[in-house]
Amino acid sequence: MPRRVCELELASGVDPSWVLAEVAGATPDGPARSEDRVLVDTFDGRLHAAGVVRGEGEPVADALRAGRALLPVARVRSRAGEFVVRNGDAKIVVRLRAERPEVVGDGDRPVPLPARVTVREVLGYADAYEEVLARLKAADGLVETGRSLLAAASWAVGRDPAGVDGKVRLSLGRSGRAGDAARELLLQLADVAEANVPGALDDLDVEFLHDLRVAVRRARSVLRELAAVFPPDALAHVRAELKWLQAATGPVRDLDVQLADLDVLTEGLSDARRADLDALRALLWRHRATQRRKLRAALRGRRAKAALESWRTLATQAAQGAGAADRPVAELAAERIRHVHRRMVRDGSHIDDASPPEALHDLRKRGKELRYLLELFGPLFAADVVRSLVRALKELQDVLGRFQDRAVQIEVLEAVAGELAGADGGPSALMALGLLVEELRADQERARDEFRDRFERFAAKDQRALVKRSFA
Amino acid sequence: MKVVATYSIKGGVGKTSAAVNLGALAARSGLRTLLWDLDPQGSATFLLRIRPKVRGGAGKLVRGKRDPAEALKGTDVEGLDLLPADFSSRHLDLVLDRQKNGAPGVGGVLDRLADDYDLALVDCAPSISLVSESVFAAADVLLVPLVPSPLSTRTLEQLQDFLDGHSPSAPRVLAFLSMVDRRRALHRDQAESLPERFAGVIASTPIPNASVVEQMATRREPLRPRSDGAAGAYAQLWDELRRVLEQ
Repeated sequence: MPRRVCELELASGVDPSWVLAEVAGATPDGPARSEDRVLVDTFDGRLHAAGVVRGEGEPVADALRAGRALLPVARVRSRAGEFVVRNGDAKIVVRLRAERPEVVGDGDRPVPLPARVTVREVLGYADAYEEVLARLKAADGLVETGRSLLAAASWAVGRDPAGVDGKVRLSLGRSGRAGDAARELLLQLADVAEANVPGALDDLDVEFLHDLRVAVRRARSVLRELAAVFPPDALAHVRAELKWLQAATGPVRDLDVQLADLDVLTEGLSDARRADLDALRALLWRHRATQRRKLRAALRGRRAKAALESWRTLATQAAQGAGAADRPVAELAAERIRHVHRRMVRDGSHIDDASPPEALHDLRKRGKELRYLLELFGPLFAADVVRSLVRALKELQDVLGRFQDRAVQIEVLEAVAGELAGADGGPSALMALGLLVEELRADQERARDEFRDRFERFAAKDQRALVKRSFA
Repeated sequence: MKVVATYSIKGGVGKTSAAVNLGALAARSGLRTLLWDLDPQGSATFLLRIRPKVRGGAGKLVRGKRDPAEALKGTDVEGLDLLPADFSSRHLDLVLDRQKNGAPGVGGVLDRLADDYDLALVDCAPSISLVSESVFAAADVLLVPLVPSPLSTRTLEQLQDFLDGHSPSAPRVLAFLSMVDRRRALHRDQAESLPERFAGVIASTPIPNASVVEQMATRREPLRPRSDGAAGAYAQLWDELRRVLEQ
């Protein structure tokens, strides 16, 4: 049952316990105590976004973490006391907490944070909660900042509590120079990529590597779509280096996906068959360990560092360029969106039941290109048009993605089959693997059957007209 | 959400004390716990210092006309919420009878709260009625206090017969010896022999006849956590109940 919670910060040096007693008429519920905890959050600030404050070792719902590791944000030491307000039956009707926190660094002097008061509603006693809150808000020096203890502590250690979410935001308007837009996007993407390197190296969770790869892929997309604004030689060099970086980080990511998919794919199997696949899982983990060693060497190596440096240098060169770099970015982006959309419509309409799988794979690659264009430059165009186009594209890409993913999964499973045969429990694992491959093939066929409908929606006449009109 | 109903045909056998104390123990162990006081006398509601009032009456709840979430009250034990008693629930039988099979009943009310709680304890009125049948249909476990007496096992057998005959998905019965006075030979003897004879049906932990339990009515709060005495006995009973629920 949802209960309201309000946090207030005390601007003055007044003792918060005194305020609670005097202003709210609260009484202590147990003795005040000292607390010492390391507040945690995910790299992309999920706890902060949900308004949840947790210390190390305290439970966090799986749905909230969404597979991400909980990382230490700041160590906070507090003197805290619990208080309650009771009604005429001596029943608790409001719960409060007064806290005087400070952030403790490594050997440095503690940084005091503003004292805070938390007011918590007791279910069924809304009036009492509102009354106490109103009285506290009217008191001198108490302010509802909307800032949690996690946010306050995070800022105190110089970290944005929102974390690094991997999104890039173009601040330029439609008429901004293409060269400046390229610079802005490339620098933001380089920041995201670099921020994710330590987590990917330490394997804190699989999303660090994924976000690193997405940033590289998006940067490659900027290089492709705004190619005209870069000096050709430098562009060719950075494109080659980012391609290398993408390839160097690919195998571990593929195995991460494979391992995650294995759990989903085996849901339909009986317990015994699932257990048979333990040998396969162990094999994939061994491969992952090998590939991780290579990944670490690559990311720590000179080439990766140089790639990131040349990426940033190219961003600066784009801003300094003339010619295409001086054109309005919206004009260039619109040209590209129109062009890629037109090609997708053309290529897709040639696909029929006899087309080879490669035709669908190629269409998916084009779809990705269009998606990145819309992600990077979408804010320059009418929001409802972009939304409608993204929706139709997403539906199509889901089917194409499933078709391609199943193909890759079948390929990987067949590739390990030989090795698996010789492993402990190999023969029974091979039988279970056979069932799995069969199911994957069937699903791939289903995806292919669904393709036609989705494509027709994507390439419908009104959609084409909308693209032509909106990205003129 | 698991549903446990504390139930007894007779009153004054320690049913409500068990519901309140086990509810508090469940909440303190981290389970989001709901206690529904279905006894029109409202003893559990009184013990938790909450006023016995459900707007629109309990009838509207079991007819599905009112959202039970709006009637909930947080107790002084964090994690334990109460759906309070209402004097009108003495007419619940009539409501259920009029609706026959059309009313969502006790199970329907609990279903609407199932996402918000891990455990619901229903403190039933002492009787066999349409209300108790509706509770039996919704409960996973019936927790039955037995005051040691030569007839106590007979009560249990009658209840089991009734359940076998009436409820298509009969809840599991877990009885426990209640108000055990160790100064009395019969109580001592039954507290030792019955749990063994009825292993799995009668909990091995007896709840003593202790003044602290009686004083709950004047202090108006569940027993404070302790490892000995009556509080310790409830804690052990909670462990047994939890194991049954996990099966």
